[in-house]
Amino acid sequence: MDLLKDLKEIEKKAEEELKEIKNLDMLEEMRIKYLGKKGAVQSIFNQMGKIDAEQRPAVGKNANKLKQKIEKWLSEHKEKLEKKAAAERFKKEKIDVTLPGKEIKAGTTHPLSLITEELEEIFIGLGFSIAEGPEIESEYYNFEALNIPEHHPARDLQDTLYINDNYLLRTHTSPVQVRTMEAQEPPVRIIAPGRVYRSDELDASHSPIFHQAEGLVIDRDISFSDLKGTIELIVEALFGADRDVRFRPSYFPFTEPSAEVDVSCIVCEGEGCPLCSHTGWLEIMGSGMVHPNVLEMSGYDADYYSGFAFGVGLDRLALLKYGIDDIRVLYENDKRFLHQF
Amino acid sequence: MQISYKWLKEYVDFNYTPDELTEKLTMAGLEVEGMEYLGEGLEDIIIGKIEKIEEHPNADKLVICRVMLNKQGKVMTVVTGAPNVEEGKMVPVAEAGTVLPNGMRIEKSDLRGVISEGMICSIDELGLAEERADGIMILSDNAPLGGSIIDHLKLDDYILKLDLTPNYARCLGMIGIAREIKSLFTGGELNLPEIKFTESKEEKNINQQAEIIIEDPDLCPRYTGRLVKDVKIKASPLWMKRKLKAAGIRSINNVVDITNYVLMEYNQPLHAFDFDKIKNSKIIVRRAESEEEILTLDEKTRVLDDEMLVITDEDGPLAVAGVMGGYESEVTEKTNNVLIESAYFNPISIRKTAKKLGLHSESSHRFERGVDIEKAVEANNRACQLLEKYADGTIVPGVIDQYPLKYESAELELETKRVNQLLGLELETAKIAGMLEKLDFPVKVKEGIINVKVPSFRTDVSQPADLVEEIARVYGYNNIPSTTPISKQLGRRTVKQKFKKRVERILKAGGLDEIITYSLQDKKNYSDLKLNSDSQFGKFVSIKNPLSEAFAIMRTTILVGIINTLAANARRQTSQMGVFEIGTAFYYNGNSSRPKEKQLLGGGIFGIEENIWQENAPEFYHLKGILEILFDKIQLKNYRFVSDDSREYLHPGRTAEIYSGRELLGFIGEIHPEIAEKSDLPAGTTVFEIDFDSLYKATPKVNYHYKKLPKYPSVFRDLAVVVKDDIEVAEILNAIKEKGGEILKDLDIFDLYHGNQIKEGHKSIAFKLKFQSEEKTLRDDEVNKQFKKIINYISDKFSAEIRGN
Repeated sequence: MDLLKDLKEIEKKAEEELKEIKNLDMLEEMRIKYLGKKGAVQSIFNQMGKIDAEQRPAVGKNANKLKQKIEKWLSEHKEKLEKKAAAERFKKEKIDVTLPGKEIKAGTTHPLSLITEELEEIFIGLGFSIAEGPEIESEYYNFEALNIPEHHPARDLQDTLYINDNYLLRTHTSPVQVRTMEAQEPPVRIIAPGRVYRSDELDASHSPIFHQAEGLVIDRDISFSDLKGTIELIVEALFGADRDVRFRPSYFPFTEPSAEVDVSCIVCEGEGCPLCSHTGWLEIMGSGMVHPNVLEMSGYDADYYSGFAFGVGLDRLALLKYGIDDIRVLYENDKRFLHQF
Repeated sequence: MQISYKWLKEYVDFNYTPDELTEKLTMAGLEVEGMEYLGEGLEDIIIGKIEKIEEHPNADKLVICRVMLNKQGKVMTVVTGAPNVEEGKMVPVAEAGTVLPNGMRIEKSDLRGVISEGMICSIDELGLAEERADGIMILSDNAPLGGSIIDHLKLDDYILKLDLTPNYARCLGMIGIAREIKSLFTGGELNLPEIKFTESKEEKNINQQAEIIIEDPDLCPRYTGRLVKDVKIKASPLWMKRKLKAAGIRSINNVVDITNYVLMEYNQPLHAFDFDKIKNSKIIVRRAESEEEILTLDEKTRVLDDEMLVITDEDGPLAVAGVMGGYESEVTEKTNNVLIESAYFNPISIRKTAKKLGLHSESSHRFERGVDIEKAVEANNRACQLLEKYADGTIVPGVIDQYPLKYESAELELETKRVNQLLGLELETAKIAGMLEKLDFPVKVKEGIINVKVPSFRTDVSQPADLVEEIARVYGYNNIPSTTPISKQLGRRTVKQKFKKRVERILKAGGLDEIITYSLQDKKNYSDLKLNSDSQFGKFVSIKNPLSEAFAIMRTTILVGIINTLAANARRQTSQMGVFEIGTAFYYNGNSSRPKEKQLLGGGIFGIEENIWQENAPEFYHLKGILEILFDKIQLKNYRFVSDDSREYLHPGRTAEIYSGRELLGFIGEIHPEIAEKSDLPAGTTVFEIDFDSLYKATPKVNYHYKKLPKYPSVFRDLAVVVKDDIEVAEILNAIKEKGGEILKDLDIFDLYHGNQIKEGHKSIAFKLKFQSEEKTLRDDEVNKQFKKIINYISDKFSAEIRGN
């Protein structure tokens, strides 16, 4: 018997057989056939006792080599088969990634809240706190304490809705100024967003119910320059750095000097268009230095402290910023509208 | 207030274009709301002459006019039906191609076989009158042939519409506006009217012919009168009519027009009485008697009270002082002699009277803002000058000037340091003083202090702050530098404000859209939705002066807004929607008390498909799920949903009250099917409302605190029980928890079943129990022991059949 020759034949057979192996089961069969306890290579070892002693080392060595070789072939082939199997599986599992994802119902933020929050964040960054006040006010807080005496023509500037002889629906958020000053000592830095009411018929640009935000700063040495700088910062934060801002003399009973704040029109950039009534400017807020009478009535020393205040219409701001052309849309809460924000 | 650009130029020299003037006035605080060119659209209208009128061969009502268009003899044919065409008349003509102010384009057209090459215009077609005219406009015979209608009618002018705030009372007259322009922009002097007239030498002094008595000087600090005799009542000169029209004032006759003209010039309302109607030539200025009556110019009887000031004679009221004249003493065509009143009335008194009578006039508007008391005689004299010239009046010598409360100009002290501090400037004292002088304030300066006298026309200035604004105006608001004050405080939201944001975030994550609805509502909504059956919701706060029924009461619940929003969206074919709102509700609290305000959180949902628990109430459980995640996230303690059938607007079998401990926070429920149907709400629509303030109070202000994660494995057991239908799941859950002991860590329901295998009137509920120990790995027998205890307890307590065990 020539075991060395047998080994060669086994090797040759195995090499050929390997080419036919198509799957992992066949591969296992082949492993058992060649490397198992009753396999071809083992049978060579088993026959070693029958051959000459001097031949044994060479047969042993070759048999071991063959065993290692077949092991290597099998593992290499196994890897190949596994890769192929995985590839097939992935191919089968392939999905159409362009199909839409599951519809997740997320609620939306109302645009009025969006603009309010945006404004609040800007002011919090500037060191302001958020203040609130009741929507039903007394004559005192809504008018008198704001330097609007009973028979002053300034009362005509706002049409008031009354509850009874003593109480009314606040026509502006300015009463919060007074309430804040009564409750705390300077320095004061607040912004007070909230709902206000006027006896205005509902149309595309008027609503009996709308929203304002009131700002108030009181400290030592607060000047008109500070008012201008602060408002310019806000306009920049809201409308971007390329807006022009102008301040023009105006009248509010609770500020002196008073200023109306205009920004260059966001549609026509100052050229003139229907939105800005061809003036190139949009009126966005009223402002001014807090009137000494207002400071004194709230118990602040007007010779020692000074301050500025401003009021901005949030509905108007939302209309301008989001390009909405009718204030009523804000209160209709059409789902198709809400889901644009 | 509206003014003519050209008229303004008579009082101050400027060479600004109307656009530049608009800009300047606006930046000075006199906001120009709009501007109008009087000749707008009339640029191509020319003056023609009707040379010849011929009959139309094919139409009785039409004629053919040969209209000459220029001196070179160009003729145009116009076919017209106007009844007042006349040969030789000068008329405004539009050739084909011209567009009229109303947008109409003139074309050549064939009118019954004759080509009409243009049109002869009527006054309304030119936009010069509102009412439709019967015929064409006939111009004066001296109108220049071929000339421009704009030039001929002096329409080359602009009207500026001013929106004046109450502090610009001085600018309610031309001279006042001119003074602003002079002071702020041009410098120089005003061109004031030169008042000249001749007092009659034949007439006795007015003091011998008339008498004026002021009984209430507090309401009438000054009253002046002048007498003009033998006036000829006729139409005013064209130039005056034109100016008044530009100011928006209708021409009546020369005398009335002259009083209005002086009003517009001087901002001093005048009144002309028919002197012969004043009994005994004696005027008494007094408070009206209570219930005293007067027939005013507008032919309405006004009932007066004793707070109102009236101008009377011995027989009774002749005029409501400063508000409106009386019908009886009005100037008419028959008037011969007039007494001109130029007075100063107390602003508050005028305002109250005008308000009570519902009479707002050019005169009351000015008196209630304050006129220049020192100019009363000057304005009266100006009227006399014009009456002499344009009404051929004879001026009676002398003036009656009752001036019981003399004007004393206020003196203000202005500190340079404070001015600079308030404006953020570094101006010298002299510079500030100079600015005030420009504005015609007399000043005296000494060491950083400026003494300022307030002139009588500055009724708006009463304290130094008012002067600070004037200085800012002269300096230019936009020339003041910008700075930002440094905050020494931290900006932040309060705990409650943060809580609100958090709740909103969670609800939005749960799929609800935030909405904002009106807090003024219609009472009818409440009865339609049966919400008024709720004692709380019926405590309406009503508006005393509502705009309409739709905005007549304050909301007492958020639900109206929620329901209306859902219904409106459902009507627009929205298939699914969930919304919430946090807002204020208001409750009546007695006739003269402050109503209560409360923050409420409300929400609603429709269009949910997943029929969880097979109860056919998907909306209820979906919305409840959102509330549960909200309560869990904000760590609301011990909340419970307790079955309730007390609300008429909700389904009695599908409503729960929400409690935290013993406190009722709100409710959730399906809208009553009958109401849902009537209100266009999809069946199953479910809503909730929670008292937001109570929710906030019931929520502990916890900080997050880490609990160690369990190290040992958990063991699960399923438990299915069959119980009677009327046993609530919550009872069983509580019972299981009660017996579960420390090692029962979690308890879920995973199935609820009514049906074939379950006996009538019963339901099967399947629970999943999770056991886990913090100290060791639980052995099966330990778990089984606990599980057995639970089973025994449940089957005993609820007569439950335990399935599959």
